[in-house]
Amino acid sequence: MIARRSILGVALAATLAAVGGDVRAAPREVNFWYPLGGAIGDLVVKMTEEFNASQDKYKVVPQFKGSYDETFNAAVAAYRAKKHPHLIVVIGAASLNMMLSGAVYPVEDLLKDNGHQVDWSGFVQPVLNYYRTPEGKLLSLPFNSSTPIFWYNKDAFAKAGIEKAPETWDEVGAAAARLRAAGFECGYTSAWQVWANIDNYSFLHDQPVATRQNGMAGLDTEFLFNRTKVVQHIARIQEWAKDGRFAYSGRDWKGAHGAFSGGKCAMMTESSAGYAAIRQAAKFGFAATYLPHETGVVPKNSLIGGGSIWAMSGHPKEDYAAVAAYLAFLTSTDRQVQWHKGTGYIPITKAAYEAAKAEGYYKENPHQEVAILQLSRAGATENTRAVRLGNYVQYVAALEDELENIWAQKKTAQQGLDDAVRRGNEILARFAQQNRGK
Amino acid sequence: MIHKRVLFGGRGLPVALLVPQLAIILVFFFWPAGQAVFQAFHLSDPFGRHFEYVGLENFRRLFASPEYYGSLRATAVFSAATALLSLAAGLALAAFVDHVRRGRSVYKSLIIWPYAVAPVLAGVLWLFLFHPIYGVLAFALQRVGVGWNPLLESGQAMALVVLAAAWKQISYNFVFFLAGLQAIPRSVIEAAAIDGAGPLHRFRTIVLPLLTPTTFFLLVINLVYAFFDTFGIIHAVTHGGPGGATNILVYKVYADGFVGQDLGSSSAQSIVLMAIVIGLTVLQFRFLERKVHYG
Repeated sequence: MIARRSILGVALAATLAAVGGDVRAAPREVNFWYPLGGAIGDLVVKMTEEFNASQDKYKVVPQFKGSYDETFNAAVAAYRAKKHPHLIVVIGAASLNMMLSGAVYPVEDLLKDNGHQVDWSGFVQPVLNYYRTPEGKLLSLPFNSSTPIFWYNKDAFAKAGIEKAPETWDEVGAAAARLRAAGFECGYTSAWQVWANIDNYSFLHDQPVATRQNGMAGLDTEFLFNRTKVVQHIARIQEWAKDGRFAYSGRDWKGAHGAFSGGKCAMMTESSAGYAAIRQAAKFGFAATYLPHETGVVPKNSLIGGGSIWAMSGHPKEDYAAVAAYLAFLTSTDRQVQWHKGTGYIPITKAAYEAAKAEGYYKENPHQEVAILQLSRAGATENTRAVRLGNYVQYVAALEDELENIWAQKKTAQQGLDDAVRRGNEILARFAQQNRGK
Repeated sequence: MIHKRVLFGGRGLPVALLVPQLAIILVFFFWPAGQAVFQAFHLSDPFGRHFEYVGLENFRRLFASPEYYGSLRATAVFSAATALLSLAAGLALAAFVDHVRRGRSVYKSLIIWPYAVAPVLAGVLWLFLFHPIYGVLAFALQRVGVGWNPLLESGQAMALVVLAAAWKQISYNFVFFLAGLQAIPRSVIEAAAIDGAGPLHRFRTIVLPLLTPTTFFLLVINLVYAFFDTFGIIHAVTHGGPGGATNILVYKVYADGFVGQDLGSSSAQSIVLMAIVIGLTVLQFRFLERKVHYG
C-alpha cells in the first residue's frame, strides 16, 4: 500500500512538473506527418534533424505515414480522436477537402501570429496561388510541388533515329511509330494519367476541366472535359493503344516507371519529381522537356501537383510558435535549394531558384528547370489557375476506371469520357451536399 | 450410456465466464455494426463536422448506379471462383498428403504456410509475379506468346485476384479436409477395396459423402472469406480495375469508406453486403445442408 502510494506521489509530482513547466523542460514537440517514402523521405528526416539541431527550444518529430491517401486518412481519424498531428502534408488535389474541414490553421495567419514577417512576393506566385483562398489568403505552405513533364530515353531515340524531342502530340505519335519500327515494345506511356492527360492537357490548351473556374468560384461544379479538346486527345491515345504506340502501365506511377526505366517505353509523361527514382533505376541516358501540345497552339502553364504542408488547429498556442519556426526554416533559401536538388520538386521561392541557377545547376540538369518554366508561363486564364474540386480520391478512381475502358477498346473515347463525367459529377454533387452552408 | 453431468451450481459463475466474450462481441461487433446502420442513413464530411439525416438516399444512389450492379456481378464471379478453387485445391492437396507416407509433416507445414500471410501481402506477392511490366512470370507468359495484360484485360485481372485470394485460403481448407479424411474409418475403405472398388471409385462413393460435413462448413467459411476479407488483395493487385472489373462489393466498401471517406455510402454498402451474405448463408443451410451426411 505504501509502495503504491509513493508511486502515485511520484507520478503526481511528475505530472505537476510537466504542467507547471520546468525551466529545463524538454523541447516542445511538434508532430509532422508526411507521405513521402524512399530517398525523398530520407531528405525530409535529414532536414528536420538539421532544424532540431539548430536550436533547443523545439523538436519536430517527422513521421512517414504511407501514401498520400493513407496519411490523409490517418490524420482524419486522428482528428476525430483529438490526437492529430500539428503538421501534415496533403496532396494538392485534396486541398478543397482540407480548406472546408474546419480543422486547419492557415499558415499565413500562423506565421504572422507568431511574429514571422514573410515576404510572400518573394515566392513563386503560380505555386502559391494554388493554395490561396479566393480572397488571397495562403492556407498551406507549398512543400513538395511538382508538375508533369515529358521524359524521354535518349539512347532509344538515337537508336530509332529520332533527332529531337517531340514538342507536339503529332510529333509524339511519329516518334512512337519510329520507336515501334526500331523494335521497342511501346512508344509512350504515362504515370498519373488523369493528372497528365486530362488536367494538364486541359491547362496547356486553355480548356476548362470543370465549371465555376474549375471549382475555384463555388462548390456547385460539374466536369466539362467530355466537351472539350480532351476528347480528341484521348481518342488519339486510344488509337495508339490499338497499334502499340501507347502502352497502359496502370494507375499511379509504379508501372509507368517500370516501363520507362526498364527500357520498354522511351517516352513518359510523369511528375518532375519522378527524377529521384528515374535517376536511380534508369541504365540509359534520359532527359525531359515540356509537355507536348497541339500543333499550332501556344501552350499555357501546366497544373501543379504534389503536396503542401497544412497546420492543423486545436493544439496549445505555444506549439504553434514551434510550427512557425519550422515552416520558416523550410522556406529558407538553403533548404529550398537542397530540397529542389535532392527531389526534383520545384523551389518555392524565387531566391532559391536564382541561387540554383547562379550555381549553374540547370546547365547540368536542364530538365530540373523545365518544370519551373512550364508552371510559370505567362498568360494564365481562369482555366489554368487551379483545379479545386472535392472528394478527389473518389472522382479520380472513377475517371481511371473509364480511361481503362477506353484503352481496353470497350468504349469509345466519347462514351468513356461521358461516363467519367456522369460518375464524377455525382461525386462532386455529393461533396457539395456534404459541405452545404460552408 | 453414461452422461457426464456438467452443471453449474448457480448462475453467477457461468455468467461471469461468459461476460468477457460477450463484452468483446458487443464492443467489436455489435457496436460498430450499430454505427454502420446509423451512418447508412446519414451524410457526413470526413472530419465529422457536418452530419445530416438523409433517409434512404445512400441506398437509392447505390441502386441507381449501373456501376453498382457491375460490382454485384463481379462479386458473384469472384466469390464463387475463389471458394471453388480454394476448396478444390485444398481437397486435392489433403487427399495427396493423406496418402503420402514419408515427409508428411514437411508437406503439411509448407501447405499451411500461406495462411500466415496477410491478404495485402499475398496480393503484392502475386502482383510481383504477374504484373505485366515487372512481373517475372508475366515475362515468361509473354515470351511464350500469351497476351498477358491484366491491366486492361478484365478476365485476366479477375483470374489474378481469384488466384491470389484462393491461394491464401487453400491452407485453411487443407487443414480441415485432412482432419476430415483422417477421421474416415479405414475399415470402410478397406471393405470397399476388398469388394473391388478402385481408388477413384472409393473416393467418389465413400470419401466424398463422408466429407460432406467438412465441405459444407468450409463452403460457408470460404464464401464469407471471399465476401469480406479480400479487399486487401484487390487493393494491392488491381484497385478494382480495369474499368471496375474487379471492383467487388467489399472493396467498394473499403475504397469509398476508408480511402474516399464517404462513410454514409460505405455504411449503406456494408449493410447491403451483410444482407447478401446472411441471405446466402441461410439458403445454404436450408438447401445444401440436407445433402450433408453427418456420420
